[in-house]
Amino acid sequence: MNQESTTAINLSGHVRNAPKKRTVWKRYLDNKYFFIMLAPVILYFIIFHYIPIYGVIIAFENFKIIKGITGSPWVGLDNFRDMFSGLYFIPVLKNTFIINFYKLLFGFPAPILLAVLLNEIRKPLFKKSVQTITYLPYFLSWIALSGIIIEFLSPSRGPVNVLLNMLGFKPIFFIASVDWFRSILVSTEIWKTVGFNAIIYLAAIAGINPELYEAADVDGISKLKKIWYITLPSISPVIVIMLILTSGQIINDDFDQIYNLLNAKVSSVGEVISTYTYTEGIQKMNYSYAAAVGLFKNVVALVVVLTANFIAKRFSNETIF
Amino acid sequence: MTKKRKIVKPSASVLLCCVIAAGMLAACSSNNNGNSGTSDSSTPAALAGNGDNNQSTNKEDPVTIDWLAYNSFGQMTPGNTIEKMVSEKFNAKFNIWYIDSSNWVDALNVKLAGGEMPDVLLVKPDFNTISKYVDNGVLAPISEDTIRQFAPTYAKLINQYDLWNTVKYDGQIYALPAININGDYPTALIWREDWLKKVGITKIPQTLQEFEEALTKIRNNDPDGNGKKDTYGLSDYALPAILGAFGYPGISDFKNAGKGIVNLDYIQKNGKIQLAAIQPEMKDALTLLSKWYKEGLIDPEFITSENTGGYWADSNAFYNNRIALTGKGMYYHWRNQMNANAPDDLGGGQYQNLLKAQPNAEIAFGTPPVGPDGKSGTIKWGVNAPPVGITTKGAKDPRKVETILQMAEASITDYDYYNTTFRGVEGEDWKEENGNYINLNPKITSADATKKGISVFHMIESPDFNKKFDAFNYQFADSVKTEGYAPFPAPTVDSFTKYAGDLTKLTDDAYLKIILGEASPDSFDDFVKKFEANGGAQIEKDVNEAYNKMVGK
Amino acid sequence: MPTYKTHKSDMIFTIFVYAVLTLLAVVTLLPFLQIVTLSMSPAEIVNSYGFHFIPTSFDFSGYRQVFKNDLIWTAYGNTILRTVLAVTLTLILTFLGAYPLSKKFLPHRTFWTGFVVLTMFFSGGMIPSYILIKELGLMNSIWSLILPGAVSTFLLLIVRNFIHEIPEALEESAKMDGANDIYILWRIILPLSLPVLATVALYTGVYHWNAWFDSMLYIQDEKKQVLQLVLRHIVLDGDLAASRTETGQTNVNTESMKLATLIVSILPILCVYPFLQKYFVKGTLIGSIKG
Repeated sequence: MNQESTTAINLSGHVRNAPKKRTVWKRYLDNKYFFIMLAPVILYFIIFHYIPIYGVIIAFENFKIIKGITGSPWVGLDNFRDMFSGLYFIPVLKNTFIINFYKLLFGFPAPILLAVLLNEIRKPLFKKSVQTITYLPYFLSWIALSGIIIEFLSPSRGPVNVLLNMLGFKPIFFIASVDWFRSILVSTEIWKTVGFNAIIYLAAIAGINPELYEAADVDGISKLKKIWYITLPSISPVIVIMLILTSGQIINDDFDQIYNLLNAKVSSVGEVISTYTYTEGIQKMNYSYAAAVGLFKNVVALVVVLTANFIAKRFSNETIF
Repeated sequence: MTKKRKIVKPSASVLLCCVIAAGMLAACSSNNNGNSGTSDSSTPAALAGNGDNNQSTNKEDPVTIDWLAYNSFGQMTPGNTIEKMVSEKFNAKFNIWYIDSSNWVDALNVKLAGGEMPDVLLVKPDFNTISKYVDNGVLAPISEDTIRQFAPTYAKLINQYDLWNTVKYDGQIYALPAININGDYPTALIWREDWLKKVGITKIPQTLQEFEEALTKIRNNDPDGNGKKDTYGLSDYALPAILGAFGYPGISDFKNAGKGIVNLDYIQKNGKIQLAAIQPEMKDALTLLSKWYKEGLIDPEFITSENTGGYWADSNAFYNNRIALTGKGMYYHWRNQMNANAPDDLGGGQYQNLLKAQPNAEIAFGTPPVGPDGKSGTIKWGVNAPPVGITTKGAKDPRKVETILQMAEASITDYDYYNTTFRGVEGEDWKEENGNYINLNPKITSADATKKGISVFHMIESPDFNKKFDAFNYQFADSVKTEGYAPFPAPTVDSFTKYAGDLTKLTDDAYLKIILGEASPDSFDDFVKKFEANGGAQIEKDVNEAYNKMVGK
Repeated sequence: MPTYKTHKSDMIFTIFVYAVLTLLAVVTLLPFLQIVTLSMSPAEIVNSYGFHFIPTSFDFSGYRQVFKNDLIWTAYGNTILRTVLAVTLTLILTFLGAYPLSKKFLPHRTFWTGFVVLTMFFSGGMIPSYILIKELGLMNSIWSLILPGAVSTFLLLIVRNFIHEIPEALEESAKMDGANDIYILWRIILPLSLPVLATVALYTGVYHWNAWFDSMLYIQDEKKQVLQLVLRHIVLDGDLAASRTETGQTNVNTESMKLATLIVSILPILCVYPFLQKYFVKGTLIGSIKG
């Protein structure tokens, strides 16, 4: 059946009255190797992501274990109403956005900068060492790190305040200060992840054609100019796609970090969605509530990513869609 | 360049919908299958019995129980001595469930949601979960008559401790209360006795006045002798004891409250259940604390807690010569008298840690300060231990219920049975010497102990047997026992679940502002108004209604 | 003259780069040293204030506590096996999936991309996944840990874009020489994608090395448990031991034990990265595939 239509098309040069369906099939057939490659991946997503996706409706139910997901009573948006009507929900949401915004603002360029700087190192031992050392903190747990951070910033013993003291300033209780807490969250998060996140950019830089640099050398261009005119533009596709994908992180907070550093004095600026809903959700078997919170976060992330994608289309070809 | 088409063709979106629909259909069928209550494949036990109802006509067939009424720190090896003894005694076969203790709630709930259910389980983290389990159709009611028929001594014990109210929901009993006798002992208050002596205090402070005097001297007179004014009186762990001089402490754990963990206790006052946080006497307590903070008696870094890592009962501020008074731990954490009969007994863990840091330190168990109205006390955890519930699956077979009740009764009445199921085999795991119990494997991990069947079948801890067995410890505990406040075990109400988190934050915020001097003590009245308007009044109304219904008023 | 100017700014810049990176390395190394030191120090040092970058006295009881657990070695083996299998599977699937999606002419490309991207935002959660694994008969099997996370949409998109950057001229000239799509994939695209694939391998490897929640839900047999879960149990056990009331209990130093478990779990991961770093050396590959 398909062979006949293929022959018909070849003889006549183009398809005139052939139904739309056959064109589609032909296109798929033309690209059969690609679809053979794609098939296992699609199968994976169907089995492990789309089949269980019905669980999303837990957010709209009053989930009862004994009745299961399909048998529990439907409550529509009640769980979301519960979430939004919490006394502290709006401030907590605000904190989440603000903290994540600063983490993105400073934390996005940092790994790029690190990768670019590392690229300038000629001595392989130094380069490898710095690379390995900076990627270490990613693996340390916040439980272990928070103790060190609190100690470091202690108003009575911490080196920072000892230094301030020597310079004649009064000690500052950083970790309990509403003015400083967010900065501490942002800077420690960046420090912890910059080395690991730089890896993708190192990979991108590795793919740059060295002839570009050789040509620049002939023209006697300085290092700074080389970075600005060669390195950065060459990896800009990766930068754009990373920016789009990580923009969705605006709503996803780092529970471990904040929970371990949080204290009573700074909860007005530091409490975020995940710490706020921590005891409410799974701990109290309130799966519906936890699901509603999760769904809300995901929808926000989706909207942000699609917006970022839309904006990025003006500047680049390398977007998601 | 042509603009890319963003519209997904209708045929394609239909395809996507079909995929999702297919997924849902598959899920529907799988969910129905899952709820058939078959025995879970998760047990390592090679026992022949399936978890299904074993309605045998022959009375001598053993009853099979899917067992989760224990803390599964490890996976029990089937066929061990203890299991054999229990099986024989009750003519039962056990399918031991294993739930990962590091995340018990999640691990168990996902199994329940997946359609698997044991016959009997431990209701963790505490009795407040009972209403959730009942709501979700997991727990079955147990008739009071049945309990008194098969476990009369146990029932009398619970009467004595007045715990039936904690396991009732809508007038029916849904779990068997368990007792943690340590919860009857108030948390300890520990002084650096060598410091007290150094600054000239010879008597352990008892009244608020004496406390203030001692703490002031600690602050000003350099008790650690290093020439610097770097010592403070107390930090966050001992604060509730100071609040306790005026009434029930409105906040019982400042560190946890600061992280948003619910810290809202009930008290019974004038026949009504009320919330401790808004009681008027707390205003006076906070006024005093704000005075103390201003005078430097309270460590300014109490906000980040005196414990900066490690085990929760450790106090780094205390170990590092920063404060003189600590609390929150139990008598056994700080025990400073050794058991002559136990080999290598070095005292409580935290006491050992202190000595390692400050080899010449001495401690004294203090008493909570007595306030102007004669009140005093530290926090008591309360004797409620996680209760044991019988599931809807287990309740279908009356023989199972009977056996479970008989096992509870045995733990309360049979000393040898209890010691074996709770501590292990005599001669192998422990032995008795001169009326003292000696642990033969002090270094055994909880996981390995569970493997041997220790603490798997005892189900309910017997306070009397514990005291008899561990005589030295409890004698010591009794010798340092002080006044204490235990939270009133009121029934769980929905409004509490809804508002408690926010109200804890509100309380913590208000209290801290007063202590730190950022708000005047008069702001307490505004705080109470706000508290009641944002769910506090609702909670008090609901909980009293539920309680009255429960006790039949 | 221009050469002299360039040299000067270059030299300043180079000094700046070395200075900044050295500072960063030192600031990063110090907390790590503290953790390592405390993991092998006695209680009085661990509980004391201040910084301890070098151990002054040694106490390996934390490590002893970890290694006396029989399950540690099987756990190591399980985790290594899981990681190797998962990384292999992920590399293959991600690469196979990214290549077609990088072709602009792929029919319904937007739909297929959307199909994949949507899963990044919507998921059924723990309970349906648990039911699915049960239904597939994967309970207690290592595949329950490997299959659910086999493809990460995030990494898929990164690889897709990376491949898209490869000049079409290379493919076209190969096509003219008679190569089919699979040959092109294997002989041309793959060698050029090594840096990004090394990244995928590293990110995937780290994820699987650290994972423990899925193992807790799906694996019942303790001999099949992964490292992180066994370490969590060890830490939990330490807390339990510290809260025992009976006399004669040995005092377990929970803090140094927790840090010991941390070090034990990250050491292997640390050793892997230097081996992968050779893939991040720039440019050697594109040059070799010319013409």
